[in-house]
Amino acid sequence: MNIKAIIVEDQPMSAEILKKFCVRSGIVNVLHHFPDAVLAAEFLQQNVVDLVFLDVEMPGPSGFDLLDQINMQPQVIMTTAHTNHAFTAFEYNVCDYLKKPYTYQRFLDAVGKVITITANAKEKKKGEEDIFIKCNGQVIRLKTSEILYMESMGDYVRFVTKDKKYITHNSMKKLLSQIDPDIFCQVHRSYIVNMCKLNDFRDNNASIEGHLIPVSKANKAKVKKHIKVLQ
Amino acid sequence: MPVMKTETFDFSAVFDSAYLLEVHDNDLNAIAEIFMTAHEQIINEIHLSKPFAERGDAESLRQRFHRIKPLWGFSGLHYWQQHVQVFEDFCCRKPDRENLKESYHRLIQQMEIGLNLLEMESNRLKNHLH
Repeated sequence: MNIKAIIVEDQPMSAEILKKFCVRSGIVNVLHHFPDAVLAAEFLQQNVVDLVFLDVEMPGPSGFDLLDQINMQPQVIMTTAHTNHAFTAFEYNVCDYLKKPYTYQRFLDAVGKVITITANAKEKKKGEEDIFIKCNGQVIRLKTSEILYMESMGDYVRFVTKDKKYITHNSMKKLLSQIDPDIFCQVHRSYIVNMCKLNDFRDNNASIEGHLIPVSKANKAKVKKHIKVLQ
Repeated sequence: MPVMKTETFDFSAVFDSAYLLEVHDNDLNAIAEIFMTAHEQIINEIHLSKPFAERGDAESLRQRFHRIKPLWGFSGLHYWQQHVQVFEDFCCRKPDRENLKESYHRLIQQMEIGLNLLEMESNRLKNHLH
Protein backbone atom coordinates (compact mmCIF):
# COMPACT_ATOMS: atom_id res chain seq x y z
CA MET A 1 0.00 0.00 0.00
CA ASN A 2 1.22 3.46 -0.87
CA ILE A 3 -0.29 6.38 1.02
CA LYS A 4 -0.05 9.76 -0.70
CA ALA A 5 0.39 12.38 1.98
CA ILE A 6 1.14 16.03 2.59
CA ILE A 7 2.61 17.65 5.69
CA VAL A 8 1.23 20.96 6.92
CA GLU A 9 3.66 22.15 9.57
CA ASP A 10 5.32 25.49 10.30
CA GLN A 11 8.05 24.09 12.55
CA PRO A 12 10.95 22.96 10.29
CA MET A 13 12.34 20.33 12.65
CA SER A 14 8.94 18.77 13.26
CA ALA A 15 8.40 18.58 9.51
CA GLU A 16 11.85 17.05 8.93
CA ILE A 17 11.35 14.35 11.53
CA LEU A 18 7.93 13.54 10.12
CA LYS A 19 9.38 13.30 6.60
CA LYS A 20 12.06 10.92 7.87
CA PHE A 21 9.45 8.74 9.55
CA CYS A 22 7.45 8.60 6.32
CA VAL A 23 10.49 7.51 4.32
CA ARG A 24 11.44 4.97 6.99
CA SER A 25 7.93 3.47 6.94
CA GLY A 26 8.17 2.67 3.24
CA ILE A 27 4.39 3.19 3.07
CA VAL A 28 3.86 6.92 3.21
CA ASN A 29 4.88 8.99 0.21
CA VAL A 30 5.12 12.69 1.08
CA LEU A 31 4.10 14.72 -1.96
CA HIS A 32 4.64 18.15 -0.39
CA HIS A 33 5.34 20.01 2.80
CA PHE A 34 3.50 23.28 3.41
CA PRO A 35 4.49 25.71 6.18
CA ASP A 36 0.97 27.12 6.45
CA ALA A 37 -2.67 26.24 5.90
CA VAL A 38 -3.23 28.71 3.04
CA LEU A 39 -0.73 27.03 0.72
CA ALA A 40 -1.99 23.60 1.73
CA ALA A 41 -5.60 24.60 0.96
CA GLU A 42 -4.58 25.78 -2.52
CA PHE A 43 -2.87 22.45 -3.16
CA LEU A 44 -5.81 20.42 -1.87
CA GLN A 45 -8.21 22.27 -4.15
CA GLN A 46 -6.44 20.76 -7.13
CA ASN A 47 -4.94 17.53 -5.85
CA VAL A 48 -6.20 14.43 -4.13
CA VAL A 49 -4.23 12.94 -1.26
CA ASP A 50 -4.93 10.05 1.08
CA LEU A 51 -3.54 11.58 4.22
CA VAL A 52 -2.77 15.00 5.71
CA PHE A 53 -0.37 15.38 8.63
CA LEU A 54 -1.71 18.58 10.09
CA ASP A 55 -0.32 20.88 12.74
CA VAL A 56 -2.91 22.91 14.64
CA GLU A 57 -1.19 26.18 15.50
CA MET A 58 0.49 27.85 12.57
CA PRO A 59 0.92 31.44 11.43
CA GLY A 60 -2.38 32.51 9.83
CA PRO A 61 -5.25 30.04 9.63
CA SER A 62 -5.07 27.07 11.98
CA GLY A 63 -5.19 23.40 11.05
CA PHE A 64 -8.89 23.37 11.96
CA ASP A 65 -9.51 26.32 9.62
CA LEU A 66 -7.97 24.24 6.85
CA LEU A 67 -10.32 21.33 7.62
CA ASP A 68 -13.27 23.74 7.44
CA GLN A 69 -12.16 24.91 4.00
CA ILE A 70 -11.49 21.73 2.09
CA ASN A 71 -14.24 19.77 0.37
CA MET A 72 -12.41 16.48 0.01
CA GLN A 73 -12.14 14.00 2.84
CA PRO A 74 -8.56 12.80 3.26
CA GLN A 75 -7.60 11.01 6.43
CA VAL A 76 -6.05 13.43 8.91
CA ILE A 77 -3.43 12.88 11.56
CA MET A 78 -3.07 15.92 13.76
CA THR A 79 0.42 16.70 15.00
CA THR A 80 0.66 19.20 17.79
CA ALA A 81 2.64 20.00 20.90
CA HIS A 82 -0.52 20.79 22.83
CA THR A 83 -3.09 18.33 24.19
CA ASN A 84 -5.69 21.09 24.52
CA HIS A 85 -6.81 20.60 20.93
CA ALA A 86 -7.47 16.87 21.26
CA PHE A 87 -11.21 17.21 21.90
CA THR A 88 -11.74 19.53 18.92
CA ALA A 89 -9.60 17.24 16.78
CA PHE A 90 -11.83 14.27 17.44
CA GLU A 91 -14.92 16.39 16.76
CA TYR A 92 -13.42 16.82 13.30
CA ASN A 93 -13.24 13.05 13.11
CA VAL A 94 -9.49 12.98 12.62
CA CYS A 95 -7.85 9.62 12.41
CA ASP A 96 -5.30 10.18 15.17
CA TYR A 97 -3.63 12.83 17.24
CA LEU A 98 0.15 12.82 17.67
CA LYS A 99 1.51 14.87 20.51
CA LYS A 100 5.01 16.19 19.81
CA PRO A 101 7.48 14.79 20.43
CA TYR A 102 6.19 11.38 19.39
CA THR A 103 8.09 8.19 18.79
CA TYR A 104 8.42 6.32 15.49
CA GLN A 105 6.30 3.51 16.94
CA ARG A 106 3.54 5.98 17.80
CA PHE A 107 3.76 7.35 14.25
CA LEU A 108 3.43 3.81 12.87
CA ASP A 109 0.39 3.16 15.06
CA ALA A 110 -1.26 6.28 13.65
CA VAL A 111 -0.48 5.29 10.06
CA GLY A 112 -1.79 1.79 10.85
CA LYS A 113 -5.11 3.36 11.85
CA VAL A 114 -5.25 5.18 8.52
CA ILE A 115 -4.63 1.94 6.65
CA THR A 116 -7.36 0.12 8.59
CA ILE A 117 -9.90 2.91 8.15
CA THR A 118 -9.15 3.22 4.42
CA ALA A 119 -9.41 -0.54 3.90
CA ASN A 120 -12.68 -0.76 5.84
CA ALA A 121 -14.15 2.16 3.92
CA LYS A 122 -13.19 0.49 0.65
CA GLU A 123 -14.79 -2.80 1.72
CA LYS A 124 -17.91 -1.03 2.91
CA LYS A 125 -18.15 0.94 -0.32
CA LYS A 126 -17.88 -2.26 -2.34
CA GLY A 127 -21.01 -3.71 -0.81
CA GLU A 128 -22.97 -0.51 -0.62
CA GLU A 129 -22.51 0.93 -4.08
CA ASP A 130 -25.71 1.41 -6.00
CA ILE A 131 -26.26 0.95 -9.68
CA PHE A 132 -29.14 2.19 -11.78
CA ILE A 133 -30.84 0.10 -14.46
CA LYS A 134 -33.61 0.86 -16.91
CA CYS A 135 -36.46 -1.59 -16.59
CA ASN A 136 -40.01 -1.30 -17.94
CA GLY A 137 -39.56 2.40 -18.64
CA GLN A 138 -38.35 3.07 -15.10
CA VAL A 139 -34.92 3.79 -13.74
CA ILE A 140 -34.42 1.47 -10.80
CA ARG A 141 -31.77 1.70 -8.12
CA LEU A 142 -30.20 -1.62 -7.19
CA LYS A 143 -27.78 -2.13 -4.36
CA THR A 144 -24.71 -4.03 -5.49
CA SER A 145 -25.06 -6.23 -2.44
CA GLU A 146 -28.60 -7.24 -3.53
CA ILE A 147 -27.57 -8.57 -6.94
CA LEU A 148 -26.92 -12.31 -7.05
CA TYR A 149 -26.05 -12.61 -10.71
CA MET A 150 -26.74 -11.27 -14.18
CA GLU A 151 -27.78 -13.42 -17.08
CA SER A 152 -27.50 -12.57 -20.74
CA MET A 153 -30.67 -12.96 -22.81
CA GLY A 154 -29.63 -11.88 -26.29
CA ASP A 155 -29.98 -8.10 -26.38
CA TYR A 156 -31.23 -8.11 -22.80
CA VAL A 157 -29.73 -8.84 -19.42
CA ARG A 158 -31.62 -10.23 -16.46
CA PHE A 159 -30.56 -8.96 -13.03
CA VAL A 160 -31.41 -11.51 -10.37
CA THR A 161 -31.76 -10.48 -6.72
CA LYS A 162 -32.98 -12.61 -3.82
CA ASP A 163 -36.60 -11.45 -4.24
CA LYS A 164 -36.90 -10.05 -7.76
CA LYS A 165 -35.73 -10.27 -11.35
CA TYR A 166 -35.25 -7.23 -13.58
CA ILE A 167 -34.83 -7.35 -17.33
CA THR A 168 -33.00 -4.52 -18.98
CA HIS A 169 -31.79 -3.73 -22.49
CA ASN A 170 -28.03 -4.19 -22.26
CA SER A 171 -25.17 -6.43 -23.34
CA MET A 172 -22.74 -8.45 -21.24
CA LYS A 173 -19.79 -6.71 -22.87
CA LYS A 174 -21.11 -3.25 -22.03
CA LEU A 175 -22.09 -4.33 -18.55
CA LEU A 176 -18.64 -5.68 -17.78
CA SER A 177 -17.11 -2.30 -18.47
CA GLN A 178 -19.56 -0.62 -16.07
CA ILE A 179 -19.51 -2.84 -12.99
CA ASP A 180 -16.92 -3.28 -10.25
CA PRO A 181 -14.54 -6.09 -11.30
CA ASP A 182 -13.58 -6.64 -7.65
CA ILE A 183 -17.13 -7.79 -6.94
CA PHE A 184 -18.49 -9.16 -10.18
CA CYS A 185 -16.93 -11.89 -12.27
CA GLN A 186 -17.97 -13.31 -15.61
CA VAL A 187 -18.12 -17.06 -15.04
CA HIS A 188 -19.72 -17.98 -18.34
CA ARG A 189 -20.47 -16.34 -21.66
CA SER A 190 -23.98 -15.67 -20.36
CA TYR A 191 -23.41 -15.15 -16.65
CA ILE A 192 -21.81 -12.57 -14.39
CA VAL A 193 -21.99 -13.38 -10.71
CA ASN A 194 -21.62 -11.38 -7.52
CA MET A 195 -18.60 -13.08 -5.95
CA CYS A 196 -19.64 -11.87 -2.49
CA LYS A 197 -22.69 -14.15 -2.83
CA LEU A 198 -20.85 -17.27 -3.94
CA ASN A 199 -21.67 -20.20 -1.61
CA ASP A 200 -19.65 -22.92 -3.28
CA PHE A 201 -17.89 -23.69 -6.48
CA ARG A 202 -17.52 -27.24 -7.71
CA ASP A 203 -17.06 -29.03 -11.02
CA ASN A 204 -18.50 -26.65 -13.57
CA ASN A 205 -21.00 -24.85 -11.41
CA ALA A 206 -21.13 -22.02 -8.93
CA SER A 207 -23.82 -22.05 -6.30
CA ILE A 208 -25.28 -18.67 -5.36
CA GLU A 209 -28.01 -18.68 -2.75
CA GLY A 210 -29.71 -21.73 -4.23
CA HIS A 211 -29.10 -20.84 -7.89
CA LEU A 212 -26.75 -23.09 -9.84
CA ILE A 213 -24.74 -21.06 -12.36
CA PRO A 214 -22.62 -22.74 -15.04
CA VAL A 215 -18.90 -21.93 -15.03
CA SER A 216 -17.16 -22.34 -18.35
CA LYS A 217 -13.69 -23.88 -18.62
CA ALA A 218 -12.35 -20.60 -20.00
CA ASN A 219 -13.52 -18.69 -16.93
CA LYS A 220 -12.58 -21.18 -14.21
CA ALA A 221 -9.17 -19.61 -13.60
CA LYS A 222 -10.75 -16.18 -13.29
CA VAL A 223 -13.16 -17.46 -10.64
CA LYS A 224 -10.34 -19.13 -8.72
CA LYS A 225 -8.44 -15.86 -8.73
CA HIS A 226 -11.36 -14.19 -6.98
CA ILE A 227 -11.57 -16.65 -4.12
CA LYS A 228 -9.04 -17.39 -1.45
CA VAL A 229 -8.98 -21.07 -0.54
CA LEU A 230 -7.43 -21.95 2.82
CA GLN A 231 -5.46 -25.20 2.68
CA MET B 1 23.51 8.75 1.93
CA PRO B 2 25.26 9.25 5.30
CA VAL B 3 26.91 6.26 6.87
CA MET B 4 25.06 5.32 10.01
CA LYS B 5 27.15 5.04 13.13
CA THR B 6 25.42 2.48 15.29
CA GLU B 7 27.95 2.07 18.09
CA THR B 8 26.79 2.91 21.59
CA PHE B 9 27.12 6.30 23.16
CA ASP B 10 26.44 7.09 26.82
CA PHE B 11 24.07 10.01 26.76
CA SER B 12 23.93 12.23 29.84
CA ALA B 13 21.15 11.11 32.15
CA VAL B 14 19.15 14.28 31.59
CA PHE B 15 18.54 13.28 27.95
CA ASP B 16 15.90 10.69 27.10
CA SER B 17 18.31 8.43 25.22
CA ALA B 18 15.74 5.68 24.59
CA TYR B 19 13.51 8.21 22.86
CA LEU B 20 16.37 9.68 20.81
CA LEU B 21 17.59 6.29 19.61
CA GLU B 22 14.09 5.12 18.73
CA VAL B 23 13.22 8.27 16.78
CA HIS B 24 16.49 8.30 14.87
CA ASP B 25 16.75 4.58 14.32
CA ASN B 26 19.99 4.43 16.39
CA ASP B 27 21.64 6.89 14.02
CA LEU B 28 24.01 8.94 16.21
CA ASN B 29 24.86 11.27 13.33
CA ALA B 30 21.21 12.17 12.97
CA ILE B 31 20.97 12.82 16.72
CA ALA B 32 24.04 15.07 16.59
CA GLU B 33 22.39 16.99 13.77
CA ILE B 34 19.16 17.37 15.78
CA PHE B 35 21.10 18.73 18.76
CA MET B 36 22.81 21.34 16.59
CA THR B 37 19.66 22.35 14.70
CA ALA B 38 17.57 22.56 17.88
CA HIS B 39 20.25 24.66 19.59
CA GLU B 40 20.41 27.06 16.67
CA GLN B 41 16.63 27.34 16.25
CA ILE B 42 15.96 27.84 19.97
CA ILE B 43 18.51 30.69 20.14
CA ASN B 44 16.92 32.26 17.09
CA GLU B 45 13.36 31.96 18.44
CA ILE B 46 14.40 33.38 21.83
CA HIS B 47 15.98 36.33 20.05
CA LEU B 48 12.74 36.91 18.13
CA SER B 49 10.68 36.68 21.32
CA LYS B 50 12.45 39.53 23.16
CA PRO B 51 10.47 42.47 21.69
CA PHE B 52 7.19 40.78 22.61
CA ALA B 53 8.34 40.40 26.22
CA GLU B 54 9.30 44.07 26.30
CA ARG B 55 5.90 45.10 24.95
CA GLY B 56 4.04 42.71 27.27
CA ASP B 57 2.44 40.99 24.28
CA ALA B 58 1.52 37.68 25.90
CA GLU B 59 -0.20 36.12 22.87
CA SER B 60 2.71 36.76 20.46
CA LEU B 61 5.10 35.49 23.09
CA ARG B 62 3.02 32.35 23.54
CA GLN B 63 3.05 31.73 19.78
CA ARG B 64 6.84 32.15 19.68
CA PHE B 65 7.38 29.69 22.50
CA HIS B 66 4.89 27.29 21.00
CA ARG B 67 7.41 26.94 18.16
CA ILE B 68 10.29 26.41 20.60
CA LYS B 69 8.50 23.77 22.66
CA PRO B 70 8.82 20.71 20.38
CA LEU B 71 12.51 21.48 19.76
CA TRP B 72 13.24 20.54 23.37
CA GLY B 73 11.12 17.43 23.08
CA PHE B 74 12.73 16.27 19.86
CA SER B 75 16.14 16.77 21.52
CA GLY B 76 15.16 14.40 24.31
CA LEU B 77 14.88 17.18 26.90
CA HIS B 78 11.26 16.71 27.89
CA TYR B 79 11.62 18.61 31.15
CA TRP B 80 12.39 21.80 29.20
CA GLN B 81 9.41 21.17 26.95
CA GLN B 82 7.23 21.07 30.08
CA HIS B 83 8.74 24.39 31.23
CA VAL B 84 7.69 26.00 27.97
CA GLN B 85 4.23 24.47 28.27
CA VAL B 86 3.82 26.04 31.73
CA PHE B 87 4.86 29.40 30.29
CA GLU B 88 2.43 29.03 27.38
CA ASP B 89 -0.39 28.35 29.84
CA PHE B 90 0.68 31.37 31.86
CA CYS B 91 0.54 33.56 28.72
CA CYS B 92 -3.00 32.33 28.02
CA ARG B 93 -4.08 33.86 31.34
CA LYS B 94 -3.19 37.31 29.90
CA PRO B 95 -0.82 38.42 32.70
CA ASP B 96 0.09 42.08 33.14
CA ARG B 97 3.31 43.34 31.59
CA GLU B 98 5.45 43.16 34.74
CA ASN B 99 4.35 39.64 35.62
CA LEU B 100 4.90 38.55 32.07
CA LYS B 101 8.41 40.03 31.94
CA GLU B 102 9.35 38.43 35.24
CA SER B 103 8.08 35.03 34.19
CA TYR B 104 9.75 35.41 30.80
CA HIS B 105 13.15 36.14 32.34
CA ARG B 106 12.83 33.13 34.65
CA LEU B 107 12.05 31.00 31.64
CA ILE B 108 15.00 32.38 29.68
CA GLN B 109 17.31 31.43 32.57
CA GLN B 110 15.94 27.88 32.38
CA MET B 111 16.31 27.88 28.60
CA GLU B 112 19.95 28.93 28.94
CA ILE B 113 20.65 25.97 31.22
CA GLY B 114 19.00 23.70 28.64
CA LEU B 115 20.93 25.30 25.79
CA ASN B 116 24.21 24.71 27.64
CA LEU B 117 23.30 21.07 28.16
CA LEU B 118 22.40 20.76 24.51
CA GLU B 119 25.67 22.35 23.39
CA MET B 120 27.79 20.20 25.71
CA GLU B 121 26.04 17.00 24.67
CA SER B 122 26.29 17.97 21.03
CA ASN B 123 30.07 18.52 21.38
CA ARG B 124 30.53 15.30 23.31
CA LEU B 125 28.63 13.36 20.66
CA LYS B 126 30.56 15.02 17.81
CA ASN B 127 33.85 14.11 19.49
CA HIS B 128 32.64 10.57 19.90
CA LEU B 129 31.73 10.34 16.24
CA HIS B 130 34.99 11.77 14.91
